[in-house]
Order: sequence, then C-alpha cells, then structure tokens
Amino acid sequence: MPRRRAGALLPLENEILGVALVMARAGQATFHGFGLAQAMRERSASRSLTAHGTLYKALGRLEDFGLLASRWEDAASAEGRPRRRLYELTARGVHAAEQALAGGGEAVRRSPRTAPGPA
Amino acid sequence: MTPERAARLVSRWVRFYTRGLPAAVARRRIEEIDADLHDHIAYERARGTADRRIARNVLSRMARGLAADASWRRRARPLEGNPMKTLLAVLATVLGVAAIVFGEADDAPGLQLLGALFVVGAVTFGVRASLRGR
Repeated sequence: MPRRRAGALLPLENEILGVALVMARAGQATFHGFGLAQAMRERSASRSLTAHGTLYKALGRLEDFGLLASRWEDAASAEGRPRRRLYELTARGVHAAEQALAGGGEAVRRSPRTAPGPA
Repeated sequence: MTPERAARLVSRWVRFYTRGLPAAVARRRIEEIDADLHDHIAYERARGTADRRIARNVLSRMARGLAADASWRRRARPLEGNPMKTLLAVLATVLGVAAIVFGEADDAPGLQLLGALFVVGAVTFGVRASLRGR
C-alpha cells in the first residue's frame, strides 16, 4: 500500500469516493461494504474483490475525514441476515468525490488528492 | 472447503485481532465483516459460482487484508514492547502471506500450509505480546 502524505487521500480512498458518487447519482444514496466492493470490482473490471481489511480500514479513514457518514441499518430491514453498516457521502464527501471523478481513473490513481481536516 | 467454513475462519480471525480493543470498536468491525461475508456468499451462490471457488475468494480477501488488519489494530491500540520483536512478527506475516499466494499459484499445498503456520504463529505472538504489554 502506498505511503500516505499527511492529509492526503490514497488512490483506494479516491476510488471509493468516486464509486459512491456514481451510486448516489444513480439513486442509491447509501451503500454497504460488500455492495461497494462489488461496484468497485465491476467498475475496474477486476477479477477480485477488495480485501476485507483494506476496504474497512479505508472506509473508517474516510469517515474520520468527515467525507462519509455511517449508521447501522434497521433490524427490521435486515430480515434475519446480519445487519449492514450503511455509508453515505457527506456534503464534503460529495465535493471530494467530484474532484476524484474529475481527475479521471488513472489521474486519480497517480495523484492522490488532499483530504479536508477532520470533521 | 465450504464457503461457510471459510467464513467461520475469517470470523474467528476478526474476533482474534479485535481482542483487547474497546468493545464498541471491536463489535462494529466484527458485525460489519459478518454482514460482508453473508452478502458475499449469497451473491456468489446466486450467480452459480462453485462453493470451492467462493471459499477460495473469501479466504483470499482475508489473506490480502492481513497487513491492513494489523495496521488498523495498531491505530486502534498501539503495540507496546520491543520493536525488534514486532518487526520480526511483521516479517514472518509477510513471508507467510507470500508463501500462501505463491503456493496457490504453483498449486503447492505444502507451501501454503507452511505460510499459514507462519501467519498464525506471527499473529499469535504479536497479539500475546500486545496483551502482555497492557
């Protein structure tokens, strides 16, 4: 994993923001871990899903930066399966995601953007 | 190996590396991964993926995330003690993961077993050292 400059977003974090924004624009404002991993795999045409540790660590970092907010889904919605943690972009997250998307896939990977200070 | 068995292994690993962390932090990580594993298996089954392949994918996601798990735990509660011991434990983990990955590529179950032993040994050592340090 690339070393992080202070306050900078890693390529994976930019990718998460970009995918979250695409999902939000398609009408899916909230997302959960596996759904996100699946969307990222489809978008990048990769064969494998992002590893558990890598994915949830990145989601936690984005939440710490105030770019994502999360909550547990209602027990009633879970319908007997383990309840999911639902994430959504904050207003600052939308702004950062728009920057990430404007940078384009490769540009985003090569040039991590700067995260705002902690919320 | 069945997907459920692979999921139980991942679940045990998550419970292991979240030991000693604040209860709310540990519970959130455990429940989040449990939901992910359930969704992953359900999704792949609905697509008609073979059970063996699903199990391999689940274990692969765990193995590829080991370093991030260790780093996340360190951030949640920094390791204490001799830094050289910590370095050796990290090195053993990296070697173990490499052996698992190369063993998979070369279809060498012995190498994979050796890698798994390295990882389990290093992680056990690291967590015990961490718990002793508190």
